[in-house]
Amino acid sequence: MTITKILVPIDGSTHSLKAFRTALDIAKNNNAKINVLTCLEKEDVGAWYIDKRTNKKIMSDAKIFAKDFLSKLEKPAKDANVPISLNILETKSTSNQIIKFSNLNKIDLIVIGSHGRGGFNKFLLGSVSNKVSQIAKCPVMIVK
Amino acid sequence: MDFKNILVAYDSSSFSNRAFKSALDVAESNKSKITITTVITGVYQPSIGFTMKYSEKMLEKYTKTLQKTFSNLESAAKKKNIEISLKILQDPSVSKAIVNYVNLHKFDLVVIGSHGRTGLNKMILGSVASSVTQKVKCPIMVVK
Repeated sequence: MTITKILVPIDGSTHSLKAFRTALDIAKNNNAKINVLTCLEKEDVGAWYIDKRTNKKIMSDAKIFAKDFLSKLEKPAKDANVPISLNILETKSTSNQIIKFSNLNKIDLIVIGSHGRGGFNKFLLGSVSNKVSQIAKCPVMIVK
Repeated sequence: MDFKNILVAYDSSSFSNRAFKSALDVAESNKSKITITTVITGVYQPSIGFTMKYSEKMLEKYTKTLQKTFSNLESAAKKKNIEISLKILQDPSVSKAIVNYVNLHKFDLVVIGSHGRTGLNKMILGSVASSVTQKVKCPIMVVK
């Protein structure tokens, strides 16, 4: 098993940043490429029933925030000499999108944080990392 | 994060063989130590209710066969100059034994196969893999 493509799903939580740091180390050792993926969940937010454009505006704003956040990851990757690509996708389901992305891009390893931004984080896995670790077809590394 | 101490949960199924192989790859690039663990759950015997101990004859037999499979793994690891050791645990519950052992000792990474020797292996994780991924306190890699 040679690792050439690593997928790191990032949602801005500390767990996901920890996962990113671990992925950087692995990529450095294996000369691998890192794909960062952020999923923006499509939901009916705001006063969409009054004005349909609110959803679109919220989504485009969210994209700008996500881009800003992800661009901060570029510098440590450059320092470590690891090629990195940033992906921001709109989706209905985060976990399904991560799995789909890993299948389409032939990812060799998914590095994911044990918890994201939702839920209580004491013992168990978060819902997204749980689903990804169960259904993804490639090895999954869960960083705690 | 450096993976100096790697634990491989091994039960000689094809999935755990794959887990061992990818652990070797990780260990090679990180120059780390590998510990193989297997859990002997024991067989039913009438005296177990009184002594709570496994018959020594059985244990000896198990240990011998384990030693044999371990020597195969050892030779594979020696080719790549990786330090390897075997730890045999005894517990009626496989996942509990692994989780306890990992949490009490300092491991940087646990590598486990997605399925073991029992159960249907289509989509979801095996029972041991799933409970170990949830309860262990260090990063864990699930190999499919």
